[in-house]
Amino acid sequence: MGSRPTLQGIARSDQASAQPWRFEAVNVSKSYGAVIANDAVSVDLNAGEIHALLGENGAGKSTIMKILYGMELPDAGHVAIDDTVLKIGSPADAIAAGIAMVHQHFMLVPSLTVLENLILGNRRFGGLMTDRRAVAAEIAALAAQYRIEVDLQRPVGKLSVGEQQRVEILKALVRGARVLILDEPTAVLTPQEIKALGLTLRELAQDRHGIFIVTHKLPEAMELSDRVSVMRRGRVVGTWRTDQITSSELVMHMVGRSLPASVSRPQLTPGSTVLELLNACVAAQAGRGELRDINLKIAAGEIVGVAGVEGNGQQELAEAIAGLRHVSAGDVILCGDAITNFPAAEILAAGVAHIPQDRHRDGVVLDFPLTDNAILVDHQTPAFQQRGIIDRHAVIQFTDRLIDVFQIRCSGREAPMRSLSGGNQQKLVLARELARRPRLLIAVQPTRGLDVGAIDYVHRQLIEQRSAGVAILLISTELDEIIALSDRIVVMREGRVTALPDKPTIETIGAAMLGSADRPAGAA
Amino acid sequence: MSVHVDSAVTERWRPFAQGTGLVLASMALTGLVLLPIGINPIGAYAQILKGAFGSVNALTEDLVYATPIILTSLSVIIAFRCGLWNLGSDGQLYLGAIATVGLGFNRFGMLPPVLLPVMAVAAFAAGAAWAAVPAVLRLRFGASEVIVTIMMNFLAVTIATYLVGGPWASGITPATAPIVSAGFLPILVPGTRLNANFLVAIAAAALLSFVLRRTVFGYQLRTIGQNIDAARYAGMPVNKIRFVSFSCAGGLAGLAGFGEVAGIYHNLPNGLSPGFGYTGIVVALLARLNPLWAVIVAFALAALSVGSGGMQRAMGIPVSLVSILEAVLILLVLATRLLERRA
Amino acid sequence: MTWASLLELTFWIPLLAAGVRVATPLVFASLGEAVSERAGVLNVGLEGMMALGAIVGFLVAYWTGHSWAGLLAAAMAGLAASLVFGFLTIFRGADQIVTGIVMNILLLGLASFLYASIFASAHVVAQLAAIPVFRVPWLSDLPVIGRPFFAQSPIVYAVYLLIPLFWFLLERSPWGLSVRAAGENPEAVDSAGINIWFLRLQAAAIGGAMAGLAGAILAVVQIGAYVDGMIAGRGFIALAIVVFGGWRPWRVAVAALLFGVVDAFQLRLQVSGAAIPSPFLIGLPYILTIIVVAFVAGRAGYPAAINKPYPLRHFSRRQRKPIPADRAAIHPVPQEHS
Repeated sequence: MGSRPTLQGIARSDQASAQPWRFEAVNVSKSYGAVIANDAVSVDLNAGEIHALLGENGAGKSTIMKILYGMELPDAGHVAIDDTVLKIGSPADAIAAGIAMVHQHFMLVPSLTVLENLILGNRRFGGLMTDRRAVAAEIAALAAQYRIEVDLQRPVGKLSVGEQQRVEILKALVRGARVLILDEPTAVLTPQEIKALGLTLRELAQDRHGIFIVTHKLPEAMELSDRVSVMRRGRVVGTWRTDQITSSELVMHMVGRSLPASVSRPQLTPGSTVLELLNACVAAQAGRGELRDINLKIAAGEIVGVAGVEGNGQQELAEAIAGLRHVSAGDVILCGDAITNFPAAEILAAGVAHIPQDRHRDGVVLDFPLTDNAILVDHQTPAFQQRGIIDRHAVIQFTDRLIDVFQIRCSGREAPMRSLSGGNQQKLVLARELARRPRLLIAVQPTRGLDVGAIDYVHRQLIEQRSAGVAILLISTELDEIIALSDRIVVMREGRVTALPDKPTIETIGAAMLGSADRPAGAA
Repeated sequence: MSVHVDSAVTERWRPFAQGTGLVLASMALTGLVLLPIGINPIGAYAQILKGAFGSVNALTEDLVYATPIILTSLSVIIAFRCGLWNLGSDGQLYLGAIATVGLGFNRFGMLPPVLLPVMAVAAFAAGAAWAAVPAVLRLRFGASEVIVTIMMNFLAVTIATYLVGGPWASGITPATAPIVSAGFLPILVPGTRLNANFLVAIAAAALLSFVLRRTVFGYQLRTIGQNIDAARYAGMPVNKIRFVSFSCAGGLAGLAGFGEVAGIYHNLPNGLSPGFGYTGIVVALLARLNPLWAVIVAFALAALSVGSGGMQRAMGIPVSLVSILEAVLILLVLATRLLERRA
Repeated sequence: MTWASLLELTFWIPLLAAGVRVATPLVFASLGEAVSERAGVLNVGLEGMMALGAIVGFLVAYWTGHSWAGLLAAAMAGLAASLVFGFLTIFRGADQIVTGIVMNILLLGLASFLYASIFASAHVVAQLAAIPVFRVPWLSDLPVIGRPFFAQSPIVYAVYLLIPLFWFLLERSPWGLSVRAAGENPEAVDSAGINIWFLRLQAAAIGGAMAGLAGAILAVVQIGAYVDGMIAGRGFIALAIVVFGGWRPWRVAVAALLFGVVDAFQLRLQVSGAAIPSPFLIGLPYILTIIVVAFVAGRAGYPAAINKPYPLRHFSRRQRKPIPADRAAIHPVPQEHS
């Protein structure tokens, strides 16, 4: 080989791929303040293997992977290759050791082209006089080898999510990584895209790469991996060969008990129409999606589930109804009255409650105490203020009631919201919105980030509200949740609501999520 | 930690201990600039203390100097609490002063009991109007209020200098002609310059504190400052509140200008403000945006400034030593991340 | 002066020449600030750093008798100030606007303090000898553009080299690629194995050094003296120029020239006693700045990660006998392979 190795040379590098190796984390611990994210975690990975790390949100999966990649530093424990302890103090160290990570939120710069993103920080291309065309040719050849189709000259911001993920994988390969860590790689993909990803990963594994997949989705772990480790509350519960364990056994390990039987949904005849959208449109804004001709009806006592891959207009739908986005055409009708483009305050006052998708950002003020957060939406009702002066006494009573009824764990009503766990913050939002006795409840991803017990609780609350005659718009990317709770299901794709055939199954919903017209040029 | 100490007591006193430590450290650091010019920093600081607290007159001068600083710091605070930077209180102060002088000539022949309140209201309105410009540009067009308010400061000084040198010139001094005596603010302590605007400043601080803590308007303002997305989600009239609070910020600074003219100079001199607006920023930051603490911090910094005048007269050390000291203190606060405010 | 003279080249050529002169410090300050902001570091302390550069440059030039020594010292002083700023904002996570404002108070105070204490007894304003104009042979004889662009102080010619240099640095070099990425998505830069904090500090340091130079050009090269308040908002105007120029070196330079010409224009009108009240003339650059900030470039264009500190990584306990990662790499690293 010449004085400078070619990329294919590194990637195929016969020595490298022929030799077996073993990469491992040994007794790694990490805590953030009082929260123990990793407690003596040990996981290992062999050449040519796909190892799934399975666990619920908050089980500590992402933390251990970030430690392997040097983005977090462990409090104790170490990382090793073939029993040689590695010092990984930064991603630069990890990259030098042949480790690469595909983050859940892609580490790409939207304004730069694919090529620029690929060579960012890459020392091999760091010279001032680097011939960009030669580099591009090398990378194109590498992409072809793994059948990863991507246009190197397009800005990353213009790529679809699936394409961006392929850029991330290609980035790892360009750096000659042998270990790939994928953090929740399927969260943003359609079922069909997930299949394509699986094929790419299998191909990489056959080429003696080692792959960690971090996921909270059981079926994908079963489908994609050779071995699977389960994490719960910062610890590794166990590691098994995937073909020697069943799904139900894994669930037991994940949650520490069997899943609760799915919520029972009493038979109800829906009442009168509460919400009606007539050809509602929202124009696209910088960085935000659009809605096109939405027609949707929700009756009292009915749960309408909106399925779809994240970012297909679900958030815009919720915001348009709640008065947070301008409706450019069409009508939003609440109980017979048009509320199109009313100020958000009036829509809320008319009986709409909204559990926003991003609770941290929209639903609470992290530096306010619980009391101030409890009255966030209703601070102008006479219950909490007279002539513009806030009634502290009423606020305190109300907050205490929410804490009591919803069993919010906190150090007191004056504790800053920031000091609560994510689940308890969520409980406060839910408690606050339900206490408003709404006619319409918009719940966006109401169980994201919760543990199984809390999910069950939220589900039962939604069913209870349904029985009380509330119209509920449930927006979720968790198909299981949609199917379990909804009276009717619609799918959103590219800003449109797609009708579904009767008796939808996971497969038919999945097909609707992807759309039949344009299947993306997949990685396989 | 060999001795068990009641942790509640140590918790309570920790901010004071930290604060004292920071002040001493910044004094030591600032003292370094005195060494090359052959001056003993301790002597200089002693002169400042003497100048600030050495006599009854010095004490009242501290309060006189604190008055506009309290108002400009409140101006910074009310804007900052809803997430906006008001670096323009210096310019708003000038506009308040210009309005005060303009009416103070009393060309409309207002009766004495009417004249003073009208001047005050006009000063507030002029400051508010001057602040409304950056507010509108920010809220409507997304223009950085940091840059616009600074530019407005330069414009305000330009206009004031023009008036002093041109239309309103007195002829002899670099100041406008005097206002009528009916427009003078009452003096609180005879024989000093301490005037009624000091009480206005204290009242404004108390009022702002109440509004922020106990009213719906204050609650909405704080929510916007902490998390504007949550405020929108909760249906708050975000732009309206930001506009009102930014205008009020200008009005408070305008009142500072009113006090300087009606209470102290009785005309509009060139260089009316020795940077009260910027000192107001320092006060707001050190007071952690709390209006009541701002009164105390403003008094401390006013004393520092008054004392430094004495130091300059006695030892020939430039008064700009004080701005160095103030800035070093805040930089130390930022570096050590003490006094960080939450909520 | 009559309005008719506005139509003649004899009015416009000296005006353009003056505009280039006035624009020179603005170009220096805004080029540096563009780099800094591209990396996500907004330096509101630019005004103060220019003042520091002015006093340090003036003092050193005054003592040594060499203007160039003054410029060099000013660059160093600006750089030192930006390291303080960078330490606080990048490594301590302090708010960039708060820190910048306080840096202004500190540095403007320091500049005033230094001048007042060193020249306290002097009754005459200390003056430096002017740097003579250098006429570029042949080019300065070109019609129309010859005099404005090629019969200037040598520092103006430095600008002609700096603009392409900064363009290459930001838009074409790998370092510039990292800088641009740092301003958009710092986590991506970290994830790519680049020391994001050091990178940002470098960018801030360039901004500080250039601001120091800008102040010194004003004091040493153009005025030959230091006066309190001589920066007169130019630091903030430079911030506006960066926005106006869309963070791209060529456009930033053109934007600075526009400001220079407008300033030169108002000076000319004042001197010639035009029938426009002087505050409107003096205020013209400030009004132009406001217009530019408000109507030409809104907040939307800023690099996404501006004023967003990237948190440091912390060990809570010492690691035991680790070895450097690359010695145990899974794959043979490229260097070993060759």
